[in-house]
This record gives sequence, structure tokens and C-alpha cells, in this order.
Amino acid sequence: MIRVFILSFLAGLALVVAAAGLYPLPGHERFRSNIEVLTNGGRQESFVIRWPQDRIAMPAPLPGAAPVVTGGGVVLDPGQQPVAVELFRLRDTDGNVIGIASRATARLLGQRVAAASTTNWMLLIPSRGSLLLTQENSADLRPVPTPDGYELPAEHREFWAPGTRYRITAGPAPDGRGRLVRGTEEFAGLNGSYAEIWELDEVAADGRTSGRITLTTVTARETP
Amino acid sequence: MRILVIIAGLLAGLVAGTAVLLLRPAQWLAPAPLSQEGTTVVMKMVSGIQRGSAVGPFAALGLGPPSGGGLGETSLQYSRFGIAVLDGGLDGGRAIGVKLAALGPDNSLLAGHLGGEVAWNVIWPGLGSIFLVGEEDYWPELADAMRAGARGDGFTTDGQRYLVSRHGAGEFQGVVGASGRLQTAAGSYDEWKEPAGPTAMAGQLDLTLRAE
Repeated sequence: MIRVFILSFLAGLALVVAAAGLYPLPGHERFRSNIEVLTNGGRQESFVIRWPQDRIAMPAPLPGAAPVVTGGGVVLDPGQQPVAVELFRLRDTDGNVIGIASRATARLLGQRVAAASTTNWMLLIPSRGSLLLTQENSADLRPVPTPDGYELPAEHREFWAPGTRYRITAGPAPDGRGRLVRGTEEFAGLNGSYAEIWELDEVAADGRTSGRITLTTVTARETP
Repeated sequence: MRILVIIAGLLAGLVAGTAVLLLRPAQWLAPAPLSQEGTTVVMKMVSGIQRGSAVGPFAALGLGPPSGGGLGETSLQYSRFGIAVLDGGLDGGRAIGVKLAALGPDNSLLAGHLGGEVAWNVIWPGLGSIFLVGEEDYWPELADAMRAGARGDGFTTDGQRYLVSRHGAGEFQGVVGASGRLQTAAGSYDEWKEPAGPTAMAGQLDLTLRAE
């Protein structure tokens, strides 16, 4: 009987190991990556955000911060220095939703153009990793306070009066591109730059805008 | 009688195996992570919201409902974001932090690794910002939930505070970029998760920073 008990005990241990090894842990859906190999050996990949449909609504008010009027973000403003945080679904150039992106815009110390603003992007593609990006903007794109909350400049027709396409990125790279701060997982070990372009598709009768944001990254493996 | 002995042996093996697995034997021989030097800045989450997959071990096992209605896409079902207003830090003012997280690619119950990939951006208005990357570790919470279940209290860890940031040898976790007044900052962080509602985020970020 002792021998039977010991054998059964070992079988129980083996079942635990088998269950732990075979348990189907969830994984992420993956789409084909649209990467263009450049002649200099680098790689170019673009990501797209369509506004307003790709804005992700906040699940609840955030005490201590104010909402963005059009939704999809909040603003922290401890006295004339507003920081806007926006959340988006992130698409590839085929239109597939592949991840989520956050955009934080503020005026920070050390900007080359004091009157402009700085934007930090975080792109999280669950099946591949994340890209952390930073740029100086070509204008002050910080949120503007209104009686109903904060509004973002691009949400209004007046912002688009000069044209329907804006290059937002104005540095810090010498060619006016933004900087890839860090990549993780599949993007680990890459350095490079990016540009943010806004393109207007439509202005509705109430003045609300819709369009697309394109983030084009140019990266290469860090040389050891 | 023989069948009873077999059943007793199997049950004993299952319980003993589960108990040992929860102690993460695969990591007993792993080298200890390097300690970090610097000044620790404690940033308490004054308020926080989150949406997407729920936080914790059961979400990492593919169980449980999403938080805040989910993110609406199958490609995002194991991802989430959080935004928090943080107290403390530079000049004692408030900062805002945004966190993106997704289940990690190398989760393994045998290896005792159950967590996710995390990226934080913390911005101090008018001053500077930092980027943080790291991993979340849900294993301690899973172990506590299993023990609670074994005691008959239900598989819950409600009301408990957990250190969810993972420090593993060979795994980078900390500051990867900074700007403004923090331009030369480097260091690491600890993230504490506290009990909160399904769309709320509560806890604390302990930043250990040094100038480079």
C-alpha cells in the first residue's frame, strides 16, 4: 500500500507539471509587419491613427485632471502649464488595429524653441513590443482651456486654415525628425528617428475635424 | 481500499506539486538582480483610471472580464492603459503618468513567470519627463489567491497591496529616457498596486534616480 501511495503521489506531481506546462496561456494576435528595407540598410515602418474614431474614451473621470472635450484624453494643469494625455488605437498601414498609443504634450524645460511644445509618444504593439518616441513640435500644440474643458488645437477648423497637411515634428534630430528613445522586445536594440504628420480628411458642419496621424519611423540596429 | 490509497496519493501529489510550483523553484538558482543606487522619490497615485484587460494573475491566465469595457479589438484583448495623477517628485508638485501594458511574451507557469510588459511616461508640467520600461509580476498575487482558495476564503486578494514591478537578473527595468530638468536622470522604479475598482488604478511609484 505504501508503494501504491508513493506511485500515486508521484503521478500527482507529474500531473501538476504537465498541467503547468500545457496550460494554454493567452497570446496576442499578430498581423504581418509592413516594414520597408531602405537602401542604407535601415528599415522604415509607418503607423497610422485615425481621429476621431481611434480615440479611446476614458473609462471614468480622473480626479485632479480635466477632460478633453472631444474625449480620448485628460489634461493636468497645475497653473498655466497644461499637459495633455491622449490615448489612441494604433493601426498599421493596412488599417489593422495592432496596438495602443499614448501621446503626452507639454511645454518642458530645455526645448530649443521655448514657445513650442514637446510630445512624447508610447506605441505598444502587444505582439511585438513597444516604441518610446519624443519630439519637439513645430508649434505650441498644448490644450486650450474652454468653459467646457480643454480642447486640442487640431480639433478646430481654424488650425487647418493654412492647409490640410502638417508636419508636426521639428526635432530634436538635426533633420527636424523626432528621436526613438527606446524599443522593447522586437524593437530592442534599434535606434533611429521618426516624423509625425497630420492630414485633414474632413471638417464637419459643427467645425469638428477628422483625419489621420501618420508616424513614420526610420530605424537601424545599434552597432556594437 | 487500494483505490482510496491511489486517490489519496494523487491528491497529495497534486497539492504538494502545486505548493512547490507556487514557490517558483525554477528561479531558485537565478542570480539576484543588481541593486540600484540613487535617491528614491515616492510618487503616490492621487487618482488613477485604467481600461483594457484586468490587472492581475487571472487576467494573465486568460480568465476574468476586461476592465472598463475592454478596448474593443481582439488584438488588444490582453492590453490595457492607465493614467494617474501622481503626488511628489520634482519641487513637490504633481505629475501625470500614463502606463501602457500587455501580457508578456515569455509567460510560463513552469518557470514561475506570469506578468506583462510595461511602459510608463511620467510628465512634470513645465519641468520634464521620464520614460520607464519594465515588467509586471503577478506571481505573488497568484500564490496568495491560490492559498486563499485552499483555505476556503475564495480565490481573492482583495484589500492587499502588491509590488508588481519585476526585478530579474538580466532584465532591464527602469529609466530609459528623460527630458527637461531630468535630462540626465537614470535609475529604476518600483510599482505598488493597491486595491481599486475595475476602472480605477491605485498605488505608488517609487523612483530611484541618479544623475548620469
